Parts: sequence; structure tokens; C-alpha cells
Amino acid sequence: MKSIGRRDFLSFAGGLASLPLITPLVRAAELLPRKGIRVVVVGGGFGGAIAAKTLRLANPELEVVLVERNRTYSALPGSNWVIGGSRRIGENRLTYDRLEGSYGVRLLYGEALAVDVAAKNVMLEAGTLSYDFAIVAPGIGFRFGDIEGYVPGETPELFPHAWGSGEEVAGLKKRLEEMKNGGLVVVSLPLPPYRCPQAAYERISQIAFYLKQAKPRSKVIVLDGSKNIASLANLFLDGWSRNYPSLIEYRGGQQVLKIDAPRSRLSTANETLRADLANLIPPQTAGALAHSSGLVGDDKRWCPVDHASYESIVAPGVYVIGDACLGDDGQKSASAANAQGKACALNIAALTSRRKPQPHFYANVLYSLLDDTQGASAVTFYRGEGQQARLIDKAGGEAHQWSELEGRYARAWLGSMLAEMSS
Amino acid sequence: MSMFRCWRVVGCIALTLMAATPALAQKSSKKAKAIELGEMLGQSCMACHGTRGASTEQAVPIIGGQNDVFIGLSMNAYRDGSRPSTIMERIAKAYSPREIDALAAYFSAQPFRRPAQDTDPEKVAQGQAIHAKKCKKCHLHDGRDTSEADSPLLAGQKLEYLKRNMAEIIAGNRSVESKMDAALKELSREEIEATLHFYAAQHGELR
Repeated sequence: MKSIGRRDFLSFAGGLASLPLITPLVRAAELLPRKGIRVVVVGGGFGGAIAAKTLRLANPELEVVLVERNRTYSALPGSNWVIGGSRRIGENRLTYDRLEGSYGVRLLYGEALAVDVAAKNVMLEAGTLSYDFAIVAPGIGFRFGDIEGYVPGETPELFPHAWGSGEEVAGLKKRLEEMKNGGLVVVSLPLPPYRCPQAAYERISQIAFYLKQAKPRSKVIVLDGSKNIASLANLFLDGWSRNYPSLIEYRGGQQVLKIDAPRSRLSTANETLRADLANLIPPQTAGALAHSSGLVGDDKRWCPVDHASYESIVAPGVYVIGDACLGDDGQKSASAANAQGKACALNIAALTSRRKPQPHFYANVLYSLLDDTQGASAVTFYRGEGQQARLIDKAGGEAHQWSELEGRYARAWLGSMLAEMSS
Repeated sequence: MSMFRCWRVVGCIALTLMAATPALAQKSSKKAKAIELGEMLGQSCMACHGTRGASTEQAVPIIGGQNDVFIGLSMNAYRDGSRPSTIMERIAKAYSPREIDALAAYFSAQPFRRPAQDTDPEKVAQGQAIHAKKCKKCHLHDGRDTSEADSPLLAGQKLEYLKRNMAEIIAGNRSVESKMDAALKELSREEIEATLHFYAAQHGELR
């Protein structure tokens, strides 16, 4: 992997909205009067929302404030099924009302600009929130500068990544519907670590499933920056050759280095392809808030944490969960974020009620659908040992085959995770 | 009753309580510790089985409020493969016997939540009659209780889960005790399904 130079970082930073100054000149007003020991959770995705709820369940004395930019959240897991046609995107949308009504989480809608670690404040445009503990779950950002010719303001329209929210995936589906029968779809996967590699393989499956029904003369070429690193990769390759033999062409170890989006061209070191539709998933890094708050580590990409508590190694008192953290074994998934959010919350709940924190132990469960019915799962277990998380190798593992039963469980898994974080 | 006798009785009760308390306290603190460990270990379970085990999904059983012996037996049966599963076998192997006990202690201490489900009223009525004839000796109080700790609570359990598991039992893929086996042999498929509708129809605050 190439090292990250100044140019790359600057081009990445340029892709974000103007970054805030970490020390404001005027001390902004406290947005909510304090009610006791306060935990501010920034980001209401799979990690943040469940962390906020778990904190209130485990220690009702805590004041928990969840800062989220959207009133309606559109989840990514299961959004690929919208492409294949077996789910409506509306089913992926949720709100946070019940976290407030049933669990007493205080909700604050707005964009968090940065965490002032020294002053223990979360800064928003309208003012600040002081905290005793901050849990940060900013998700991912993109390293657009890693791809020559990528224009952050224009390219995502032309070559959608659909890697940020369920709505974007619904948009990608529309683009597929507009494409001619016989078109070429190029799906480009970045080098890891990136958000949920298994979901990228599922994306490819669902695109092929749609094309097989609606535009059977079309083709999908997969340019994978690495080679079969996703969980279930072999099961996917096997499923593709059985279900979509002439539809999917997989090319491993092929990284897109350069693009000309207006002319619909993508280039690797070996070739240039002209796509009728490109789903270009760029290389990734921790979300903007992690960068603006100084939470990223020496790699300039991800946030290193103590795996017993998810407390930041570089900024004590701030906890980083979900895709942004240098997670257990590099796992980045909704399930991992959910588990990290709970482990982090229980740890803080114990610290604030003078109980000894339990060493954390969790499963990362991944479910995928090959088409509209056939599903498969992969599980990995981690046990906290000191500051490390150790993989438990005697348990977990992958399904041996695609099955309708696991397809059924895939939908139940998603339904349960969405319900858990919102009700 | 004389004052003296009254105090003697009180004294006896106090002595008895004092003698019993350390043992009880020890037992309850052991249980409290298991529940505390189970709360942490159980977090991963809740992603599929719902907050505190109150499943929101038809395919996934409610485990909150289920009896602890049955939870332990199920986990061990998944572990050794004697109860057929997809993902549960891979999951159950992650936990030590002590951790399985902790999970059972935690989830059995949670309330059994019974939201209303879609059931067929005719089957529910038929199932109620069959329950009264064949099932109620072991599955007490319409399936809200059991006579033996190793059998599951059924009232309000998810119907799809009940059907799938009953199909496994009938197919001989999942062994059950002889009494249950004998009862099933005397019932038709339709009658068995009707009893499942009856159990699934129990909802809300019961008792």
C-alpha cells in the first residue's frame, strides 16, 4: 500500500466542508443545561444510537445527549436488497423519537463540528455541549484524492458510490433502471480497510440479480482493489458462477487509480474501461469529525482505541466506536458498531456507578443475500484482553452454503437491529 | 397469647432468619454476579433476539423471561449439534459452561414480553381444546409456566419460530423427552399446528 503523503491528506481535507477551528475565539453558549454526569454521543448510526440507549438502560442516572444531523436515518444494511427488488427503501428509514420517549435519551439535531478534547466540549454551529464522557461515532469519510481525476463536488453524481446512506443506494437503483439492456456496470472496490467488504460483494450480487431479471444482456465487471478479502468471499464467487455465470466478471487485485468521469472511464494499472454505469467506492478514512477533533492515529486514517473500553488512545475521555475506529481486527460493519457501542456504554455505565467493568465479549454477525431468498451468515467473536481484542477461533465461522433459511434470518437480523436501535 | 410467648416466637423466627440469611445472601450474590456477567455477554444476543431478549422478529425466539434451565440446555444442544441450527451452532461454541449459565441467569431474569401476533382464531380455539386435553399437565397455565424446568415457556412465543421448531421435532431432527414424543404421536399435523396458534395467541400482561 502506498504511503499517505501531504498531497493526499490535503486533497482529502479539501473534500470535506470547511473544517472548523478547534479553539473558537469566543466561548459559545452551552446548548443544554446540565442534569448530572453527562455523556454526549455524536452520531446516531448503528454504533451511536445503541450506545445512547444502552447507557440509559445500564445507568439511568446518566444524562445522555445524542447529537445527530438527520431526523430520519436511512440505514445501509439491507439497502442492497432494494437494488434486487426485495425491499423498499422506506423500510430502512428510522427516527429517534422512541429513544427519547422510552429511554430518556436527549436528542439534539445538528452538525457536530469538532470535539474540543481539552475543554471537554462538543462544538456545534449553534453552541457547545459540555461533557464528562464523549462517544464519537462519525462513520467514514472518503479519500477522494487517492483517485486521479476525482472531483469531490462532481464525481459522486456521475460515478455514485452509494456507500454513505440507504437513500444513495435507492439512487443507484434508479440509475440501473435508466441504463440500457446490454450495458456495462463497473463496480470498483477500494483497498481495505473499508466499510463492510462483505456488503460490497452483496451489492454486486444484487446488481446482477436485478440485471438478470430486467436487463439480461448486461454485464458487471468487478474491479476489486484487493483479492477476496470479504467474509463469505468464496461463497459469493461460488454463488455468482452458479446464479450469474455470464453476468459477473470478477477481477481481483485491480485498483482503480485514475478516472475520467465525464467520459465514463475508469483506469487500473492494466486497463481502461468505459462503463455505462460505474459504482465507484472510493478508499476510506474515519469520518470528518474524527479528523477535526484530532482523533486519528499515526496512519492519518483511523482512530486507535483501547479495545477494552473504546477510549481513544490519542485523546483520553473520548471514546470512538464504529467504522471510524481502528476496530477489532479491522472489522467495520453495522454489527461490529452495534457491539462496540454496547461494550463502550456498559463500560462507562460501570465507571459511573462504581462497579467494575466487565471485560468485553462480542460477536460480529454478517448476513448477506445472494438474490431475493438465498442468504448466508458469517460470525466472528472477540474477547477483550487488556487493551486488545482477541479473536476466538474455536467459535464463529461462515455458512457452508446459501440457504433460504439463512435468507429468512438475514431479514430478521436486519429487522431486529433496526428495531433495537430505534425502539 | 402471653407477652413472653409472643417474644419467644419472634425470637425463634429471628434466629431462624439469622441462620438462613448468610446462605441465602451467598446464593443471591452468586446469582447477581452471574446476571451481571450475563448482561455483558448477552449484548450480542440482543442484536437478533431484541433488547433484553424481547425479540421483535417472527423468525427469532423470545429469550427474555424464558426459563434458565431450558436456555442452558438449548445452548449446549446447539453447541454439540444435537439441536439443528444454522448460525446458533457457530455462536454457542464461543461460550464456556459458566458463561452459558450467566446468559441463562440474565435472560431468565428479564420480563417475557408478549406483543400480539397474527394468529388464526379458529386454530386458536381448536388449539385451546387440544392443550386442555394433551399439553396442560406439563405446559402449565396456557404455556406460561412449566412443570419441569427443562421445558420451554410457550405462551406468546413467536409463531414462525414455534412452527419451524415443531417441524424439526416431528422430522426427528431435534430430540424431545419421551412424554412429549408420545403426546405428539397422538396428534395430527393440523392439531399440532392449532396448539401452536393457541400458544402464540397469548399476549399482553398475563396473570
